Amino acid sequence: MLAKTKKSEKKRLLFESLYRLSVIFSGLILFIIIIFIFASGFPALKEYGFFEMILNKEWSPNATDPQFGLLYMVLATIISTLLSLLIAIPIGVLSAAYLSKMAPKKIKKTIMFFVEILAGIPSVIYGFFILKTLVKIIYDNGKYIEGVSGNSMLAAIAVLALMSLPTIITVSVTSLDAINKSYDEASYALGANTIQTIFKVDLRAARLGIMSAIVLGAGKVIGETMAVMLVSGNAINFPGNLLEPVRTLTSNIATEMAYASGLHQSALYATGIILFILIMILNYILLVVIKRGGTSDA
Amino acid sequence: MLNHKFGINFVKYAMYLSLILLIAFIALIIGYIVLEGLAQLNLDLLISSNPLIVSTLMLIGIALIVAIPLGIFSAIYMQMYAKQGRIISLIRFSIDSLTGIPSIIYGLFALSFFIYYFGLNRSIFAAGLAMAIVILPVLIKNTEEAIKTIERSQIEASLALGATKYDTVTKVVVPFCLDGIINGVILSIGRIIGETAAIMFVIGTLNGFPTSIFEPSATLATHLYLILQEPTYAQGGIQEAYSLALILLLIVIILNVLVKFVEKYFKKKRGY
Repeated sequence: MLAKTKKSEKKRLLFESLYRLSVIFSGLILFIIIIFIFASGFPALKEYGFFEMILNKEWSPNATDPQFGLLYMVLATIISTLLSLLIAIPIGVLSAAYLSKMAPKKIKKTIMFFVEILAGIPSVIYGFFILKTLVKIIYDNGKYIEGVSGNSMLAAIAVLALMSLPTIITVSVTSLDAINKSYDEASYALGANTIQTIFKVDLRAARLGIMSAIVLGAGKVIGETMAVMLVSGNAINFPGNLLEPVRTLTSNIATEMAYASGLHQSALYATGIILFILIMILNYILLVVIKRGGTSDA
Repeated sequence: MLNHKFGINFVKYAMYLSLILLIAFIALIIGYIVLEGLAQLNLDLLISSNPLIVSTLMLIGIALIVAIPLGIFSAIYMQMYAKQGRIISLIRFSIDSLTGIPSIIYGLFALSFFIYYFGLNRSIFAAGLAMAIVILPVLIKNTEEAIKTIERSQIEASLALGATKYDTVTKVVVPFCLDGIINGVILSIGRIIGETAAIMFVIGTLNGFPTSIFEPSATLATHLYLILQEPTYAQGGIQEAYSLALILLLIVIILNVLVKFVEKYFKKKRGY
């Protein structure tokens, strides 16, 4: 009996230290990732300078005097993110409002089931789909115009808008569902109709949740790689023409990593660092928004 | 604007239009992949995707074996043992941030960490370790959320009966959280199957039937990507791409149904 208790005591100690070790390890991963990405990108940043890299528009890693300018790619990333959100936010938020506040239970359940499937569809398939539909349509209609090959910023924006929808919708629906029922009832009691209640009461009450939905969607869009790579054409252009190909930061990494070495490879890690910084800025914006919204609400 | 009938109608129709667009997107993408996939599907293509299915399963196995204990143990510690303070909120912040990191950054990290720093070969094994890191926050989050739904009184009752904290965890908390854990695992499997960017630099290239986890290989998704980049890469070319996309989509749908089934089963079992 005593031996058995001793044994189970040992087991308890073993597992409790495993719990602790696991949490330490999980907490350290982010820092290990940051250290390795920054260490690998540092040689290029040191050689060319951070601002030189993001302000130079020329990227020619294999030239005798190689250039590692990311300006056009940073712009392509930011502009295609903003335009895709411009499409996805109204569609996503309005659908979420309908699903949460107006839809019959069965319809809501069915549509949300499919939205969750959309969220789970691999990005390669999204790229495949747009490649075979929109890219083809653009090519068929515009092939006589110089520079139009179908692969374009427009296709990239479409695929990104499509991919951010599930995130925007699920997070918005969750926060709209969480609004206290008494808000709606008070609004109806004052004589407001459904639409007035949704837009004047519900969307305002749930604005923090909707803001996070948008920022989460934006994060997904900025970091998306494979789908964009398949449809954007990958040529480094100033992102001024929707029908011309562009290259984003993510596809720059994915396209060239396979054959890059030395400083070129380091410059690709530096591309990753700049992507990382963009995402951190986004997360910071979210934090500020939540803090502000929180205080003005109270 | 919403005080006039015109404004109200305008907004109402905008809402309906959004919903119609959403449904159209869903129908288009699923319909396109299913119909084209079925049209292109034949037995040869299915047989030729066998090595991909085997290596995808190997990848899932490695990632889960590494990540499940780490994820569950971390969640247990954070919910049951940790005193809320500076260190634990730093750890929580860092785990939350992991969710927002794009796959391609994980890919860069996996290349420099596993291949260059630890000198592993490009292989299913290296890719599995990379995926373990990608799914870890998903597992932690799901387990934590499940633990949070346990009523405090149940845990306290167990402690009051003289059970140690460890016994309470293994005999009360974990059995109660099983559905959250299972659903975390199902979601993770979906993520592993669909992932390309995080593993493309470390998995290598397909080289016949995979016989060991230490060989380079390809998954359904990475192979699909290669075909789309270069349609002559595989024998069946774009035909094979359609059937791979169909297989991937079917797996995603099955996994989603499975999540709903698990939720329902455990709800019934608990009797509410």
